[in-house]
Amino acid sequence: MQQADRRRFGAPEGAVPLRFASTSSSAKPSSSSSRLDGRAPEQVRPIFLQTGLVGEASGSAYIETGRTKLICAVYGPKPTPPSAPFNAKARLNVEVKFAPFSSGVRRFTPGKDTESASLSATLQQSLLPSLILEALPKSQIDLFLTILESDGSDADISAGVTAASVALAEAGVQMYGLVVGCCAAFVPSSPLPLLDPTRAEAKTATAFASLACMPALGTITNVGVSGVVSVEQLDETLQKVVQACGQIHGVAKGALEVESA
Amino acid sequence: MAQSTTASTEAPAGTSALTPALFKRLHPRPYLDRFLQEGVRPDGRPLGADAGEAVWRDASVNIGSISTAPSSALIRLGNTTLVCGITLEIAPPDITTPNQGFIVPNVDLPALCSPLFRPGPPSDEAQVLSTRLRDILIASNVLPLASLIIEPAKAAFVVYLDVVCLNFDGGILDAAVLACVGALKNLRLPKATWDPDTGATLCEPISEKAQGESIPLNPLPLSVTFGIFNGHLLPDPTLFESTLCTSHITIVVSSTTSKLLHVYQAGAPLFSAGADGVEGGGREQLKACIALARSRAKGLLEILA
Repeated sequence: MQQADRRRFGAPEGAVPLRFASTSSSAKPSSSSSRLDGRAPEQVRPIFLQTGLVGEASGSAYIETGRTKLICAVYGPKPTPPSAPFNAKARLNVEVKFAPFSSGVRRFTPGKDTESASLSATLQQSLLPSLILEALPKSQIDLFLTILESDGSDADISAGVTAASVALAEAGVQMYGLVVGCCAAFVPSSPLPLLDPTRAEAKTATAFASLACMPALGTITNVGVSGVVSVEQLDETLQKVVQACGQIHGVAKGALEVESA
Repeated sequence: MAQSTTASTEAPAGTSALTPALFKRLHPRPYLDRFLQEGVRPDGRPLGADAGEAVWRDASVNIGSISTAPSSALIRLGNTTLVCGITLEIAPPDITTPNQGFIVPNVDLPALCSPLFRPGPPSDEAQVLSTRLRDILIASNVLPLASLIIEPAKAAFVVYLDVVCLNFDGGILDAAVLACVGALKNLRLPKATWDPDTGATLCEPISEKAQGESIPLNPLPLSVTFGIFNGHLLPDPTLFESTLCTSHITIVVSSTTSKLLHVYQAGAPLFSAGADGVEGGGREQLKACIALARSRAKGLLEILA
């Protein structure tokens, strides 16, 4: 039960999401490929990445991969408020928000919902090893990310990590390298894992692996695997994901070069 | 002695690093005033009633960019960027109005869009904007609530209009109204049937075959804001200008009829008589604003089409 929110116009009493008559799904994988959109299993979706959309922010990035669309802005580094205790390293505050229209059914919870809180934690964990926060004592960096259109939460994290790192770079935060993310889904219908799965593909998956890394240094900053998967298969998959991250790193670098040119 | 001190203080003052950005930050009021004295605004727009279309910021609309929403519109008004996405739900109509559905507009000003906002619940500004947007949409009756009924007294559509600001640079209400109108224009309601046995409503998914039903809209409301600074009328002010303006006028005109839908004036319209080509007292000045708003509305309607 949602608590009443007096600061917004709320839903009328008894409002329920639309219920659709079940129809036979017309989306079937084409014969030549195992994927719904005809990609090869290890092929990631094309990425559009642009910096500098939010004028007043220190750094910002908009990323679009397939249907996943999100925008990220960084404010800071700025001094912590006087009330905050002394910190020798800068603090990275991460807030992930879903737009109410981002995922088909209306997403609306006053305050934070659990999914965005866990996304924030993953994002923060993926970014922290790349940043030289020791260089900024007594300061904080605020990173805000709004998901405008979601196409599976794993794809959201991966795109979010890439956008966030590019925004931090544009803000001039010292870092060891750009962090990019990619994910893979293991589906029963395909012998090979599917990289960068869409929501429809992720629905049938038995396991997920998502990874964030700094391809310039060959360092992995965060790995998450959920579901049942054999060690050999996981090893093989993660190598493919790291390879894909190398390609994504090129896109991220390109976006920053365009901006500085 | 006195001469030498003046000389020594003058020299560093003359060469001090008072860059335009620093001048703007330290003395925003004189900064804006200097621009307006030259007949130009800080972003290069001309001043004056005879400048035509150039007094407005560029507006652009991108309809249907969010595919998870039944309808959406992305608006850019100068640097201001916002997205309006529609979501649909079904609810029993209110017992006092059994033949009306619901529209629920909300404006979100997240901390992402500007350093002025903090994360957390909607700020006062966002709440005020939501209320004004709702007033404009309900009062103009752009979307007849009766057209949202599926079964009288049993089921009706709820149209949520969520406006998310991505870049905050003034003129938010204008952009929000434009975004809502753009999204509503593009909205198609799925065919829905209310089942008297189960009391539930079943919809037909929108596909190539079943395109859904587009709602005939009433004349569209189009909002135009003016700021008044130091006797100058500034149409469509940016954030920097609107924080310095002493009064604001918002005029919502109807797209096809000559009716006014909403007039809101905060502060007195005290731009100097004769300046910027407008003569006469407050009444004449407001009339001049309405005439300007009408011409702007024509332009906005073109980009929506």
